[in-house]
Amino acid sequence: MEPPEGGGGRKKPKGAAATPTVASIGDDVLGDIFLRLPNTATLARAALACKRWLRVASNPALLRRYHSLHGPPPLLGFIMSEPPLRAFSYEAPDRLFIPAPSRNPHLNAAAADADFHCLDFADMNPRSGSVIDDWLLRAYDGGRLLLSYGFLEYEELAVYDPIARTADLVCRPDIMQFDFEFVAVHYALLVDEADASFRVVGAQFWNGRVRAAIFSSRTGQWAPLPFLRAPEAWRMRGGMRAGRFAYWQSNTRLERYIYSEEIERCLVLDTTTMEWTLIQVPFHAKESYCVADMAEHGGLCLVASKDQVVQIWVRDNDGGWVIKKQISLLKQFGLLKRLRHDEWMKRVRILAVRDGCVYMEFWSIRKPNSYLLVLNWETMKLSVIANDTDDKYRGPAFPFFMTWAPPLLSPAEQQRLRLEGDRFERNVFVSG
Amino acid sequence: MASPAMVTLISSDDARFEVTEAAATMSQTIRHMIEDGCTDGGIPLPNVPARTLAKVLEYCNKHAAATAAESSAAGGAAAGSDSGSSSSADSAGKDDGVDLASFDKAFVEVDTDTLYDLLLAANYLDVKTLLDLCCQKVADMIRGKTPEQIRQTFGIKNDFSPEEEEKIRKENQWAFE
Repeated sequence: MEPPEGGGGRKKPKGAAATPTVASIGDDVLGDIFLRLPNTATLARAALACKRWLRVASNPALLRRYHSLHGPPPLLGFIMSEPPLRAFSYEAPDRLFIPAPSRNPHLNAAAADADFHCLDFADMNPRSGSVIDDWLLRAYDGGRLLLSYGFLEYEELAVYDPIARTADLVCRPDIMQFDFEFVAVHYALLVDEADASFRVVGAQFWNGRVRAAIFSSRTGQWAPLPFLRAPEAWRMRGGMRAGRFAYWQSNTRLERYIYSEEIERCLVLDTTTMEWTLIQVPFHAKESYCVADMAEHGGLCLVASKDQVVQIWVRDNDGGWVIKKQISLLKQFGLLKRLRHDEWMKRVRILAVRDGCVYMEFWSIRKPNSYLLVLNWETMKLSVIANDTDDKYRGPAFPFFMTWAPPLLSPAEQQRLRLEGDRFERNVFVSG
Repeated sequence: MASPAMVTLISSDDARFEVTEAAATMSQTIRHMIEDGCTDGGIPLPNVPARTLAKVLEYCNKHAAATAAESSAAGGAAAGSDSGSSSSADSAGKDDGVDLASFDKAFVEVDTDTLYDLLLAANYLDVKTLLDLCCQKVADMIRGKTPEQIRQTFGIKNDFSPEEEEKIRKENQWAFE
């Protein structure tokens, strides 16, 4: 290295560069700044500064990184419903929202203001003429609700964000893909939280096979899925999402007077490969369970409750099922033992498994109230949220999460930005 | 100890700065230039004015020195007994850490124009820890502010129409409560 000439004098010329402004910061650096904001409420406020900040803050690639840096989305609360409709019912099942306590005032504000009864949605989208004159809640995922109005071939679908109060109407799947005359289609919703896009999978069992189709908000169209041959008839329940899987439990327990056999089946679609799996559950048909996508246990798992013991079932080498892990809630948690003793709480309903947590309801056949449980498998930390209701909500129940992304841009606007092109990496929109 | 290798950096306004190679190569951009042998007669940095470069080098000198002190402390400790090594290295590192943290904190206590300058320079020179520091500072300045206060702080012109602003605000009402 040569010694420098002149000994490195320090001049201090002025005005060599124009006065910098915030505009001189590139999008990538601005994105780095946004990744360091402590929560999505702060991000949403920053995004309202100007159009460029909004665009950078709404970039799906950025939101994906934000998510991986800031941990799983916070639980806002639980949506409980009355039991599913009977064929002769004229009224939609009632719903109840139980907020999860939080120290974050923005989450509390979101939980308090959200339109979980979809009243604003119904006002904006008036319909009439159906036997049940109401929008029904059919599925949920990622801070959105899938609603339907009408019956069989007259059914309309919409995906609703009860916090932003924005909705996307979903066109009806082609009549060729489904038989709308006799058999209901059961839907599952899959939301990509980073870019607010979503997919809807409809499935029905009819005449020895499962017919299904998938709708993508990116294309605005339905596409048929491969058929699955299935020898025996069963009744499906509404579809649910577990990681990359969409799944439909059967109605064995609820319809045991119609179908005498006590076999519980679960239809699972891997939405990355579009492969079907039809599972006959390895435990008693009366047990509550859900499907889980757990990478640490090889992907597809079942989480079930036998009495008050929570079990994780995984595939063994022969394609059968074995219990990988189990935990006795009453032995592990004194509080639950007391609830069992003092309030006769006895049954454990598995609602969902997500981000290492099992979401459950601890309830009693004798009482309307119950307790919602969030168990972290790793830390064995248990949160208990009281559900002090006087009415029984024994229908579908699920945890509702605040989305990663503040819903800054509507999906249509996202789509437009995506098409605008070069500022955004196209490949981030392709899943898998 | 041999005298450290030095390099000369030339700012956009032709000021020359002589710094140790260790400090200069905290910048990945400069490191690559040195590796490519483009150092004869000094390294030109046409995007960085002198006042910003001086500030960046103040940061690099401090951090390079701290790194050197830390590694020599760790090296010395490793030569000592096995059981005592980790604790002495830890304590040396910790003192430096406290010192550096307070240096960093004071370093970004600057007006917003200087902060933008530093951000741009840290980004161009690719000094990762300085860029992180400046980004964190801006993030801290955004924190707890309303959109109006953010615009005021950073001199941003509101280019939303009242209707657009109202719509976004309404859809994100929870974030403003």
